[in-house]
Amino acid sequence: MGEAVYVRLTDQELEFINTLSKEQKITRSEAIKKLVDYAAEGLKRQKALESYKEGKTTIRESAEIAGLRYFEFFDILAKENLLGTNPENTELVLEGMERI
Amino acid sequence: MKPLILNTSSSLFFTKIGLLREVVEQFEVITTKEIYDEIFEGIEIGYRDARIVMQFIEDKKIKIITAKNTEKIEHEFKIKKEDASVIALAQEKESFLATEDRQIEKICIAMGIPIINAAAMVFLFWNRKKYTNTQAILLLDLLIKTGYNRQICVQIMEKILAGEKNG
Repeated sequence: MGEAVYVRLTDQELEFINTLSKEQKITRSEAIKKLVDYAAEGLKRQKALESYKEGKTTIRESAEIAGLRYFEFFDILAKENLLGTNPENTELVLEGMERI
Repeated sequence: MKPLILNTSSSLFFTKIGLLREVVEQFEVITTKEIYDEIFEGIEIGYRDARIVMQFIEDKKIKIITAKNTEKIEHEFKIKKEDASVIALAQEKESFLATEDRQIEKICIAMGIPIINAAAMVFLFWNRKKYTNTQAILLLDLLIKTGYNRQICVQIMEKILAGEKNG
């Protein structure tokens, strides 16, 4: 069982939650939880993408941060053309290839 | 010729641009049990590219070997076991690691393990006259369309075009 949390919302935020609740035929509490889940998912993905872009984590580690499987996160990176090793090392890779 | 160690990321791009058959014909391709498990998971969640890679494994075109020092690398670099397994295998076999992962590339450079990626593989085959300039450029363009880093592909396209001028 989760913990009840008291949060003061602005009129605008409350209006949005009321609308969402009516549209989706759910309680206001469920609407708030839905929004928190949605935001958490987005924030985790954003954090994972930043971590990958900054070269702090591998694709697999980033996928874990995002709460996704390897293939799912691979798709997200592909959509942003972020896959591929560091372009600054291209010369190094090509030079090394002579020994392959 | 030394084997080529395959990470999931490169296997997927080799598949996306239809390069995997050529790669297994040119190299003895090896991967690890950890990567095999990951590919298997990809099939389970419906990824077509994973199914294709698995077919090459089932046909024994890609061999599966267990690396001895996976745990050592895993703890030393604090990375996941799949990442550690291919690095360990490349080190043990003194071979190239095919990967598209920047962080793995960084570790490999630090450890003196040579790496290759999908775009560089296109360049290698072009260099070995397996592809014409047009074919190589089209493959690099396809890499970009399937989500590959544009800058790397453009760098290699320029080299190919410079080769064309010089040739």
